Amino acid sequence: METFQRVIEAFTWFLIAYVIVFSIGQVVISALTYGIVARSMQFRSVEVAEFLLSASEPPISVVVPAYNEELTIVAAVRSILQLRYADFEVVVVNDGSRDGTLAALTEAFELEVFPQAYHARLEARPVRGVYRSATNPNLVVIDKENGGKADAINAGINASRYPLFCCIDADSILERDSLLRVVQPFIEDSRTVACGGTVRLVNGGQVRQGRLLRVGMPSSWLARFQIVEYLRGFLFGRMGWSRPNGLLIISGAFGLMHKDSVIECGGYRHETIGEDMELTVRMHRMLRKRGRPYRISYVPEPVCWTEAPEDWKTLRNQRVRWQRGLCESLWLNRGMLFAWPPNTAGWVAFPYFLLFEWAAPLVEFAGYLLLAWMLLAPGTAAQTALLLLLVAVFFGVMLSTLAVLLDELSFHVYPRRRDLLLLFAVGVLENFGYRQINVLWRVQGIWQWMRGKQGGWGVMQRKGIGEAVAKPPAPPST
Amino acid sequence: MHRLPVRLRGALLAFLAGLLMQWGPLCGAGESDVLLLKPSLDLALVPAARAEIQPPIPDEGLALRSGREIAGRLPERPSADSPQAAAGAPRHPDFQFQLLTGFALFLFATIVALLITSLVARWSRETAEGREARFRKRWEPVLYGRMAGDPVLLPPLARNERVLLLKLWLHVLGYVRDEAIDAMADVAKELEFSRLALHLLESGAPQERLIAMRVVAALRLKEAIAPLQEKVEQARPHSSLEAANALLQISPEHGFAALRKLLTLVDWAPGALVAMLKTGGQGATGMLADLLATLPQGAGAPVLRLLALLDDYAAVPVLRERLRGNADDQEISVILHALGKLGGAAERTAAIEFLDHPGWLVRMQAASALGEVGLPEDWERLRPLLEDSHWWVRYRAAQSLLKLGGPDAVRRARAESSDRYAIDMLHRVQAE
Repeated sequence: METFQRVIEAFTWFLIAYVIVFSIGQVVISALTYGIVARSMQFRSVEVAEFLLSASEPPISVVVPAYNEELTIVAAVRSILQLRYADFEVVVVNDGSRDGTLAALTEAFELEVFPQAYHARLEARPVRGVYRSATNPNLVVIDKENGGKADAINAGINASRYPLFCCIDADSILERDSLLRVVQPFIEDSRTVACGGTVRLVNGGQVRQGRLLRVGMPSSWLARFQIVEYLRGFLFGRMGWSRPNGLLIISGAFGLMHKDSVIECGGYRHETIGEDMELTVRMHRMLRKRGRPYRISYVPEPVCWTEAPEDWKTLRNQRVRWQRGLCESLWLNRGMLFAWPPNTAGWVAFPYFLLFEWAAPLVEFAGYLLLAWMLLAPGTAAQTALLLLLVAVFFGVMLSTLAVLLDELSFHVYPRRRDLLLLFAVGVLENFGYRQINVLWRVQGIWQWMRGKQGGWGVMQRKGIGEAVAKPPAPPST
Repeated sequence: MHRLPVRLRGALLAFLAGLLMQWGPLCGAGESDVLLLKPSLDLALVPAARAEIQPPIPDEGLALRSGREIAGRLPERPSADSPQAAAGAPRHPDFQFQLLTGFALFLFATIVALLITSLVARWSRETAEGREARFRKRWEPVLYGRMAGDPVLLPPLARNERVLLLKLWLHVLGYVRDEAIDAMADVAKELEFSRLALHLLESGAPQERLIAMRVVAALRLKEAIAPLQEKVEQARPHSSLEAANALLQISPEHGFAALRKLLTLVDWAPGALVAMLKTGGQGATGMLADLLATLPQGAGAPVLRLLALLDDYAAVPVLRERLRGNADDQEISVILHALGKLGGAAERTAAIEFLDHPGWLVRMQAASALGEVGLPEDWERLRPLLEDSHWWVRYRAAQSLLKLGGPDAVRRARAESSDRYAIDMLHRVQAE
């Protein structure tokens, strides 16, 4: 019994140390993030000079993989076609959809069969047909056999013509200047091989014809919880890492990549469901190994809006998949951990992700078990247990509050005061139930990864971004 | 202007005070000290903790104990004014508990401070926006009146409104022509914009410096040349480009010199540089040609790209000269691209010469250039490139064949060809 007590005590110490180290890490990342945001804000208040937006930016291929996206694909493509950029093409890849995705596209954009000389540089499932729009000559649709998202993106890369490609989800809405913003790191630093942008949630906003007219707070609490999560995830989890070139994720929802570098690294991997993160980590690993100078960057401006699931089942599937994707990405590129010569990605970011992303749900889950035992078993320190719980809750609330503050200081996307207060409330409330459920899902994700479960396209129940996702919000309060 | 920092400072002070109050237990101060400082907070947060804040129990070490267990064995708690307390009550031995309590309080204080800072930031922003709206409402009719030639009196300008006025003035200036420009220049003179802009250029915040650069450019202020040159040399993407652009508008000679320096320092957006070079008028090609002459083979591709983008026929002799004896693939391909765009029949020989070059980039640009400057008899020279191993070479060759022979010739070539890649590519360019 004494040994057991000692183990419990040691674990309690481990939890305390874990939270303290994590806090220090978060403070450092927050400081880096604030530096990036502050620099961005300095220039945001001045209108961008026209000569900086000249018509000679490098052309971009926008690749949109789609599977059963009948409801959203037309609005999404319309939104992309309206982007403010001199020279770009849109390559939609219909990955063997079983619904009317192709028909919807054909009808909306008057698609015609196009004799594409397919340039197969990456492995992908056979292409059934290539179509081009009669109304928008820069829109190409590839119809191929089903092979998963990674396979669809690879096919899109094969069909793309330009040196940079931007991969976006079919359920995304882009800001009109998103390509102009995300191409800037490529212009400013020729070593840039990939650049991500901040993805926000469109739930509660007003959308018309593929354009976001107004940002708002959703009525669903589930979506509200995810808004705070996205703020934390995108503002802290990613942006801060870009400065020391340690960014390990360029979101599949929006990311600009240098095509030849991606092809050099082998393109997107079919056997993983976290193909976006896996590719980013692999690019770090391979480019460093080959001694190629490179940078993986991030732009802080909100450039892409996506719809969050508002039902528990879809959310659960999404989170389980995300955790599996994370596990696969880290495992497949484990050779990067402390690889010589040292760099931020392999020596700081990778271990950090292992400790605080991969292992976090396990540690937290074990913490809850310990807590339950401490509270229920006789002869244990119930007060310490409650205090431990309090620290965990406060820690979560602090991270959320920090994310909301950072957003308020920079982009203040949510204009109403009530929304700001609601975000704080959500940051507190998510710690009672939502966070614990998330931990369970993530543990399930780790379990599925250990069992070697295969992936495919995630199924998402959507309301559809072609229409108003929620009631238009009331006018700003005064 | 001055109210915002004061409020932010207030929020930060509150935050720091919270931190200092919570550092006690972590730095070794006893729980009793914390209780003296914040008894109500402690009670509110950890009601159970008060039961444990007692003198040490011998031989307990760091082992975990239940509250009930400890409470049963504890001596009576001395009152605050007892001699024991006055002599400094012994501290609780459970360091783990103390640490957690301190950490929880620290986090709580941080949350409260962050919350207050956010609310203050929101309030400050709304105040600033309101002030700017009121300022615009007051000044816009004045500026429009002056543009129309009305002798409107300028309202008093507060110190914290000066940058707002510069922004508004630049905004209005972007939409006016002819006499209205003179009227806006009079306003600038009356309000001594030149002095203010020079001051901001030297010691303003980054965004204020950008505004100042645009103002000195609009006023063609010669005194700004030296500080602008300094800004160019700092080689920061936004401000260096803005500074070079301002220099070009004030003095093309200084602007070209600055751009020349910039080109050797960094490899920035060619489009942005070309747009600026064009605003500088005549002389851009000459400056680039001079710069190119100083660069060794292999280092001239960025400058050659700019020459190609300038669309100036005066660049053709420079390009021809650079191509002679050049062994760098990058440079050759850029030159072929430029000669295809700007050159004439004289460039045909050069394009043919590079059709079987080992570098695919060079082959691609040679095929493309031949489509522009070639003759119908070059058709047979291009046909083998349809079977090239590289997609882009096949694509450009097919496009050139279409240009030289027309759709009928391409259709014929498709029918005669047995190579699948060639057929696919000809089919594609036909459909395009």
